[in-house]
Amino acid sequence: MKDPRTSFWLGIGFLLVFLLALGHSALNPPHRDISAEKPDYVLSAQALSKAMGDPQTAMAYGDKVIQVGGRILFVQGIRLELEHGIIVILSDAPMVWPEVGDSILLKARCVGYDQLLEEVRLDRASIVKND
Amino acid sequence: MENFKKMVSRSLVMGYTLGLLSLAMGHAQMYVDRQGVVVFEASEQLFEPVKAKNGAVSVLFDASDQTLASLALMRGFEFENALMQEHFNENYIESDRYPKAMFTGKILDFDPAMAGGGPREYTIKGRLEIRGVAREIQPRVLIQKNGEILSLHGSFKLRPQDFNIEIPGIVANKIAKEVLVTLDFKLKEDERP
Repeated sequence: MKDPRTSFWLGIGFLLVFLLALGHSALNPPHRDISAEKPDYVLSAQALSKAMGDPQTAMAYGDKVIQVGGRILFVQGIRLELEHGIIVILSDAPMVWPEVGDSILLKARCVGYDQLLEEVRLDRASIVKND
Repeated sequence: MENFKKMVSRSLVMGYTLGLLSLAMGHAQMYVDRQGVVVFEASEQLFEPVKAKNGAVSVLFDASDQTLASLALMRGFEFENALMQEHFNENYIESDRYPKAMFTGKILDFDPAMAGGGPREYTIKGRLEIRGVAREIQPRVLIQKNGEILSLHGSFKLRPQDFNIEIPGIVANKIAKEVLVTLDFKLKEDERP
């Protein structure tokens, strides 16, 4: 039979480990999985470009999940450029690589509007549909 | 009359050629990096590293007058710790109100034609704007031209309070008083169609 004091200290030990693990997970939450989130906005590349070009309306899109569709103008690895100045960074290499001229539907996080190059920046993107 | 027609025709051809040449030269003198890297670190010993990287910084360099402009979207800075990233955007930088950091300046005494060979040190004099506050900075950078690529690498220090960034007392001892900012740009002619 176990010593009650040993059981007590074992219990305290387990409780401490549990609390430490809880604290650690609370202080180190995982990064957002944009592909698993529902889009906050669904719009075309043209509509997104227009909205982001105006600082007043652009504020609403910052850090939001955007589902955007448009034609691909340029592909460089996981970096795509859609029509109307939409720059997209894919979160992972896709199973089937998109090509210039494809009409694509993407879900991504809106990083913001680059006034220097007049581009909308999206990252952590995943391909929803590629025609 | 025939001579006049020939003169006009030659002038038009020459003007057209000069126009095209100046356009081509003007284009060749602009360098772009759409994936410039900026890392900042404000770590203190014994505490969790306070470090973030933005690998999608825009940089434009006009070789004709050595002016350089760079823009970093604040939400593009990635931290290892997601909570730290959230605090950075929501509490310290207020990225919704101030979505970008912008630098405009000039590389002093720099001649791109002479930039081949090994890296050489230059001073960039310009204005850095963060959270709507602009400050003069003069970072020293190493520049090297390798083929068509103009590499620019350097670092400088900033103080958060200079840009009205308030660090709450509860975390003040976990964040360095000076933030080390490191740049790594690879500028080249725009390859997009």
